[in-house]
Amino acid sequence: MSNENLKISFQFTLLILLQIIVLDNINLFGFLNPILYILFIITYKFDQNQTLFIFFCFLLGFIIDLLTQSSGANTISCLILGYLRPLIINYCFKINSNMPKAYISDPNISNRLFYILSMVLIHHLIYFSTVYFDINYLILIVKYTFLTSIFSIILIWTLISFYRS
Amino acid sequence: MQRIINALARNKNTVLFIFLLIISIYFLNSRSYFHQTKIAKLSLMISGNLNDFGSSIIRYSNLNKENKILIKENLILKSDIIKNKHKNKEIIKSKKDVYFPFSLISARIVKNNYNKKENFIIINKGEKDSVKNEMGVISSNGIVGIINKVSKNYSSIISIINSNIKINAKIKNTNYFGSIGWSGKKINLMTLEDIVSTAKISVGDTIISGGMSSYFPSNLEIGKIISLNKEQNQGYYSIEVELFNSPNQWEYVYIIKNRDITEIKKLETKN
Repeated sequence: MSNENLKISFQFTLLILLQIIVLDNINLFGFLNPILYILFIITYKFDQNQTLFIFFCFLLGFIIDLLTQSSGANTISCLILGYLRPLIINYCFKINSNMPKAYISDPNISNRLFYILSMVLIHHLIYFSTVYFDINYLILIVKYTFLTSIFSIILIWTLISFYRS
Repeated sequence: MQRIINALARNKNTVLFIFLLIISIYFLNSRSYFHQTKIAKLSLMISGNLNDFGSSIIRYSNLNKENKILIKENLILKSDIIKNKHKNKEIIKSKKDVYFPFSLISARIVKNNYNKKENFIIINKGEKDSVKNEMGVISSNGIVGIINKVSKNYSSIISIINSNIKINAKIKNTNYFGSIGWSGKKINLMTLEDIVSTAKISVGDTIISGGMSSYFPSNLEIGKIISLNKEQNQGYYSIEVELFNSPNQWEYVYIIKNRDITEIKKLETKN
């Protein structure tokens, strides 16, 4: 059990550092920064304590916000994503949703892809809506959400497949 | 009572979620304005150190381009020195002195945000180098922003491309003053407001700083007009201005120190 905790905290720290030092400086086409740190929320075991998990999500977003000097958009999006995750899991994996690691062990590839797709899209949509917070910027929000999601999903899918093999 | 506690215990995830959500909204609210808090100072220090480490690696790949810009800037500075020397001779002759309260501190950008709605920049000079809050910052060809937080070794700047900031500006060779701010649409596009529609201006005119603030001296070049529209029944132009220096090209900046700032502040508070 302590080994598992150690692994989680290591993953937590590594993702934050990676996001701040490397990914926030990519600026593809001038504005695209893939968001990788939600890999933590995606891959956290499904059968663990949900209350603790929500707190972890809050902490993750909060630290990212503090270190990138941004306002609270990361905190809010992470928190909401963490809270909605059980619903998304039930919706995506249906009967397999009681597997603790369905995101790699589910035999059906479309389920796995759909899970990651919906998690990333929901997170990015909340994130960019909070950043712009104005109905006049709706097109900009949707544009940023989709373009950033493409790169985030590619990155997350690659890392998970790598982990799987 | 027992029932309420039971209900809370059953829905503890939701309760925790709402509690944390309120905290994060409060957090968002308090950070939209530039209040200088201890937590911000601490996070600035940490992120400054982290980003310094990150950017020191990335910077190597840009050295060549950076050198070219520096050489170009040096050339302009040198030509200014020559011009000033010439002027000085005349001043000595006429025994008059020109009072200029501003002096410069050079700094390097450690972290530059330009893809958000509220953009901030971190530079590698802080309290140690006598940088103080609310000093103006310029680049080789334009205005960068105003300092809003200072820690020991780093300071944070509200970038000119931040929707919370407006700067006093003027059209070169005229007496039309307005305020310039970021529209949020494109990285190097600003909007100039409060210019009356009777003003004789055209596309391509240069915008310079107005000098009606204690942050910036007058006549600093900012950008040029790329489009102007007369709004109906409003009496004002809506003007789009393109910056001379695109914000993603900033690397070395200069902090403007105003010797008279305490005097001006004293006067302002007296009123």
